Amino acid sequence: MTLQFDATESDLQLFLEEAAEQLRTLSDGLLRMERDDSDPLLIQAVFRAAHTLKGSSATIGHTNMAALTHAMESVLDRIRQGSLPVTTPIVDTLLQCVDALNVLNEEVNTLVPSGLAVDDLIRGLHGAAAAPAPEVQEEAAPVAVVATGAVEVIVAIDTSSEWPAVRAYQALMELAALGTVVASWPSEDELQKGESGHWLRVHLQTDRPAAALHGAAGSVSEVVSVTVTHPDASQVRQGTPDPEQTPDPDRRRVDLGTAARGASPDDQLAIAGQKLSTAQRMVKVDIARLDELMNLVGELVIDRGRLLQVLRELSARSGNDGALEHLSEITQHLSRVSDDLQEQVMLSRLLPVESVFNRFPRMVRDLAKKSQKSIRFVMEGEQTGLDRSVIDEIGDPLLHLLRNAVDHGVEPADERRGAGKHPEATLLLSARHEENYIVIEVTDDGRGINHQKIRESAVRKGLLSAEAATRMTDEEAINLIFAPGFSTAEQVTDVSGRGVGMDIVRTNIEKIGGTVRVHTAAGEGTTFSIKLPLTLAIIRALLVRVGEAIFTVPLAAVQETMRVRTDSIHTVHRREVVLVRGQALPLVRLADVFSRSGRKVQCDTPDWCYIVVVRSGRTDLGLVVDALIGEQEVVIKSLGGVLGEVDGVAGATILGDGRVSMIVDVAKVVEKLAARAAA
Amino acid sequence: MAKVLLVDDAAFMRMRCAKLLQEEGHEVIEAANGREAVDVYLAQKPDAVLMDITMPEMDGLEALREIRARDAGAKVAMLTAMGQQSIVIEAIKSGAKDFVVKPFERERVLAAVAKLVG
Repeated sequence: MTLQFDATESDLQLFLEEAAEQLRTLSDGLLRMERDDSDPLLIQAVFRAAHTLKGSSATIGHTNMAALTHAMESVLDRIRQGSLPVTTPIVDTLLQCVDALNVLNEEVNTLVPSGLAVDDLIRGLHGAAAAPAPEVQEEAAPVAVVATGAVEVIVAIDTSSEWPAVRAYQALMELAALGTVVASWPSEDELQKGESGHWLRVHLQTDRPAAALHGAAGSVSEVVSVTVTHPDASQVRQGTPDPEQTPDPDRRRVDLGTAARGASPDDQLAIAGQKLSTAQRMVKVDIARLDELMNLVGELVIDRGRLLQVLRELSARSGNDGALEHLSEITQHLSRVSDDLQEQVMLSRLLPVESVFNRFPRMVRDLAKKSQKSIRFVMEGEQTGLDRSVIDEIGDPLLHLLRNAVDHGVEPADERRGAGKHPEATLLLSARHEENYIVIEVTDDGRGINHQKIRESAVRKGLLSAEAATRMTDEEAINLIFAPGFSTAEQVTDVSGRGVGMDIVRTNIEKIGGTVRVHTAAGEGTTFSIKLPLTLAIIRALLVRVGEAIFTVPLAAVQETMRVRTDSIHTVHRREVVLVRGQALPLVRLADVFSRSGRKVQCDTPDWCYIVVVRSGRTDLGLVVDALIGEQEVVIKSLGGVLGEVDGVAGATILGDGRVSMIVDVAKVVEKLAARAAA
Repeated sequence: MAKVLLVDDAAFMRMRCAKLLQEEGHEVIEAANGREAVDVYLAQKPDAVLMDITMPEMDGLEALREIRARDAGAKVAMLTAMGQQSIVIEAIKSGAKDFVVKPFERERVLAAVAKLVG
């Protein structure tokens, strides 16, 4: 038996995409509400997600889903009104409902009935709310009675727009110049506060033709479609708005349907196109194919550089020449196309780590509850982009690290109080970019790892002799947790529970070319730091000259470049600095870093120098170079076995003229400077 | 092709932005703060202005108002960073035609200029 829903396949696709978003909002929002129930915007967002899901599931005829979301909405509405406090039992019940909704949503995907009954859950909701939930009334929506002579304008804004509210505001201003705005959703006030989806609906009293309205709203950047409708006259006469007419930008699908009804054939086409683009047809692509594509693009980028070089040489030789000019045009076009191609290939491989992080807040909450610990879970840098292949592999190791942190790292509240700590522990999961790496860290403020217990346990397990264990440094001892056969962390902390072999965690991370390190301090906590390479092989870089050599500085690290008089460089505590906007900027001569000592920096003009200001972490540093050459896309080639690891060099690249240029490892250089300062 | 006034206090940003505009065949003139921008605008009457917001001397919003006060037809787009949304609303009220969020994409900048002069 298969399920039937009242919608076309592409409509269902759109429904699924939006439902996934709303379920995420519900799940994340409930977890946040449990911690802080004072944020009306948050409660409003959670309520709206349930409300929208109710509307759209009812539209496709998914009665179970509609009934459950309706009951959830009632409870959330009472919370919103302030007549029901946010308690753990209520959040628990609502989260169970979200789990059930996920199952019901899957029915839409597979069309296979799950057999899940929602009656108990609905009763549970009523029970949790203690008092019988009042019959939910449809939201008192702004009554959309359109004055005679008014038109309705619906403006869609590109979903990639950073600030759709500002774009909507611009469009509203453009329309307001052509008539009188009777009403708009969102309102002008809401837009000014930055509240908006990617839609604007305006009722406008105007005598201007539709084409003028199209032109005005369409002149705003990132507006992808403008629909002008003359509202159905019968509705105006009755004065009772069709419930589907309720302006609610979240109800995108319904909105489109309504809009399409009164629209001209052309507009209907535009709306259909819009639907299709939102539904986004997906294709699964083998990662090996994306890898191959990336390699080919890399080759193309190198060839483009060489082509430009040849072109320069040719024009230097033969001056202005028709054919050369033609060649130059073609080369420029080729550059643009290969730029775009490269970007698309890179983007197709990148995903925000959010897609892995998403499931953790709920997991940590449940684990903490089970082990009766109070834990504040914080995530940072969820938007950090990570190569698709890495994303797939990183979920399990992170899950194990977080589980270990909850089970073994964090102490029970009593023990924490006894140690003079805040009874609530903090568990931090963060991701950030560092040069050509992504660093993901799991940090707890728990009891730390006891190196003595690890030694004892390792000896007991027969991993090494008692003598060898005593000889080890503390750091080496702690790293024994990664040894195969060290099994669970139970023995380390004397807390019973599941432990996951850390050797598996390490193996999984190393499999994708990463490293994992642990820092721990007794009584203060533990950090597991995972460093993953960006497999992206191409970066934008600034080329600089030092003597005869050309160095490549990744543009991501470059803050600014400047030219300073050599006599403005001062020596403070035997270190060179230059004053920039009143701050002393420490300097490093690239020539020294790569031990090309014995020669003075030779700037093009003896009295002047170039400084490239770079940043790593929170530290700024000025690299002193002879000259700036320009900005270029470079393909990173590993130095591999040829030179081995060279300190301060992140790799090499091949320049347009075939020469090899070293890529400066900014983080290393900054680290070295810090080490020198500490010495 | 247009004459574009590029206003930003960071020389590096000017370098990057000027380069991509020039590659497209635009003529670029530069100013490093709002005060300078007003002077250069009045002296050279560019077709379009790309204006950073946070700058020393005179900020982008003030410069925009000053320029629009003296030339009601001035076509200005703001170069803005995340978190300046409310300032951009102010700029639009003061007559800015468009905005581009940094770090910007090449296409966005070129499209904004095309729109300003088109």
